[in-house]
Amino acid sequence: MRRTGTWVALGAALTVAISMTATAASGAISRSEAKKPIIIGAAMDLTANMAPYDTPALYAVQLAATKINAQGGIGGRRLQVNVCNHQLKNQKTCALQLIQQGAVIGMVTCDVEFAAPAVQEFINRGMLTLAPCIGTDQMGPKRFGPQGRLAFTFGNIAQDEAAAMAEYAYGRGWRRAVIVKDNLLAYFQNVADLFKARFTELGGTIVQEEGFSSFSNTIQNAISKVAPTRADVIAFPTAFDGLAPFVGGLRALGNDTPIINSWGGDGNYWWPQNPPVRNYYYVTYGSIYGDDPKSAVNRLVREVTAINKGETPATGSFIPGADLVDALVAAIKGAKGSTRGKVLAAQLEKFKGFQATSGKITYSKTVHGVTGRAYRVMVVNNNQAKFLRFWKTKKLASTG
Amino acid sequence: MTDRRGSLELIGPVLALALAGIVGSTGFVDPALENEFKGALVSVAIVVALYVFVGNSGVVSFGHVSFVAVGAFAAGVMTVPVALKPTITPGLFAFLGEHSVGNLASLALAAVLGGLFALVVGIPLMRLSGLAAGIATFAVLGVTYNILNNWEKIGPGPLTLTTIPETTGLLQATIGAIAVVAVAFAYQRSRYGRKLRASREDPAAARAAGIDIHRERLWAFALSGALSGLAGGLLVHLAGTLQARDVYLDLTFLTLAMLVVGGVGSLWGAVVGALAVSALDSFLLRAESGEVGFVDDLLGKPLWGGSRLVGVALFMAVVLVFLPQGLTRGREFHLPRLGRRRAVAQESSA
Repeated sequence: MRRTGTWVALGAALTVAISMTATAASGAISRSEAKKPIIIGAAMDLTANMAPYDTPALYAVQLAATKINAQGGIGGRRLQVNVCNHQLKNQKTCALQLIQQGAVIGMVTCDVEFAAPAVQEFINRGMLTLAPCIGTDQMGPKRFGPQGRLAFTFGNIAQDEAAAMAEYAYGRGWRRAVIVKDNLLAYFQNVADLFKARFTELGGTIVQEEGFSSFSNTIQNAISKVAPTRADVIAFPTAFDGLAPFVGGLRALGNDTPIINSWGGDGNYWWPQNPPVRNYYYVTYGSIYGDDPKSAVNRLVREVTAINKGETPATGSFIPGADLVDALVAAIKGAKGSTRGKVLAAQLEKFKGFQATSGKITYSKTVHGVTGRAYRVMVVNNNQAKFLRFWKTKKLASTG
Repeated sequence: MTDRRGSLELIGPVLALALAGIVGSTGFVDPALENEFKGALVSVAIVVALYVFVGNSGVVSFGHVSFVAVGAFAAGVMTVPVALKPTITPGLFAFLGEHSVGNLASLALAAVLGGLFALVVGIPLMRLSGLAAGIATFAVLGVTYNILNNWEKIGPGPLTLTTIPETTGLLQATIGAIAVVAVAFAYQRSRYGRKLRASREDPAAARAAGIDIHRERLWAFALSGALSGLAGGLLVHLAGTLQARDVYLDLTFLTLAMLVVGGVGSLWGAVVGALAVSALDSFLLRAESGEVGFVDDLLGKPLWGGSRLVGVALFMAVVLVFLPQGLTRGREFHLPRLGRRRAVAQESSA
């Protein structure tokens, strides 16, 4: 009996070595192509909480790569997108797998906190690392030090997005605001703080501030505190599991104050059925509902839907996804075909009003995120979303 | 004679870890898989640290990842280059923001802080037993997480700490895991370890024999906390980034499951459980990514996303149904007694 236990354990230990070695052997790739493709290694989340944001962006990148390849690639080299679904758990392993597969450009998930392990791995190896839709100025030297020069995002930075929300709200005549801050991510915190800064700078008043953290069952406390408050607007920059209970909960309690959210609140995947979403506003990159004023955006929605087995993209992140490929192609061409991280980063830092799918992109040595895009202000009433208008930020928000 | 035979129990864990270290460093292994090997070795360090208290005392602790977290944050914050701290963690206390230490010093600091923290919280908690002790340690985990996730004077708060030097290579991971195993082994063979195990088997008899159960548990808790802190240091220097969520519930349940799968009553069980679950986890992750040829051939596509979590949970359930005491049945490693078997065979033939 005692020996049996020892052999069972020895067997388990051997299984460790054998299974790891077996999986290692199956990972080899061929490097015999004369003109190697330019491989974008996408360490993204396709099944967990960031999937509604990452998946449309990834599809747009794949779509754009296909178009580039149909036109002969970049200097005869095909663009190839290799994907690793890290499910927000194994970002570093995913990055290493993609590097092993020959990736020379890194692509990461749409939030800097979740993306950081993969970003760090890519930039440690001198690779240009691009995020389609990280929404803060942290994707760059500010968070990653000197090596962060290799990290860029095509998302709007929070200073821009929060200002757009505040300016639109103030422009609607809403003067008294409640802010409900989600402490889960720096992005949500930044948007909430910067909304406050810009809204008060314009002359508005913050009448109440509440906090909660997604995935910690603290949203009910915020609902009960905000429900009795009389205000003109509630700024609620968040995504994830707080959306449905907050929006539905307030309406069920008879509070019909307009709610304004950032791009995190895009999409209809979270809408509760009863009570339906109403008087809910958000700013985003493009409408996914086919009513975007730009026909190119509506065409992109159809194309992404086609490769997504008939499902419309969950959020507007396909827009910056398309921008990513536009910019990458231009950078590689500008670098005369080089894919070295430093060379490409220097090219991107030269972008001053670069014309991409969504509009003009400008980077600098310190800011590697986008400002100045025209936001789509969307409204949802009775679970029907509608494009309202464009809004371009007049002045970036700053907390001083 | 008994002591010599007992010392052989250390051979199995050390050989298993050395084997993992050697296989991980061979040319057959790609960088991603090498990272998985390092991760498995660090998991062994965490699970064995947990075993030092749980295995020897019989008291379940849901809070040990607190000490891993303290070690990880201490080692992480103190090794970010000073020049980068003002931009990456601008809110730190001055004494943290203006100093950095090297790899080894950071690991020592992680162990010391983990041990001290465990000692302090252990003074009241070690008077508890059973479910009350488990819940109380879980409360410690919750408090620790919330402090680390919000207090920007001692860390990055809710942000991800970046630019941490990735110094946990295979050698450091292997040596670290073996060191933790050696300390755990030495402790369980010491009179302190034996006293604690006696109190685990029969508290009343142990008290009657003059054993101060509270004191013995407290020392074990502090030692376990120090080893957890060290493991946290290894972990953060492996990852290169750190967020409070990385050292919270997922890691708690995963490491407890590793211990239970291997066999909570033995050091060998802790090592086997950590390696086995790490291997399965790694295999399923690769199968999901389409990296395992035979799975792709079998299904005609990669394994479904999310299969990894289901697979690990199913494995645990199956092990616990068929081997309730874990893969090792709660026993230490023993070399097969070939000599004795041969002698018995000779006697019977004569």
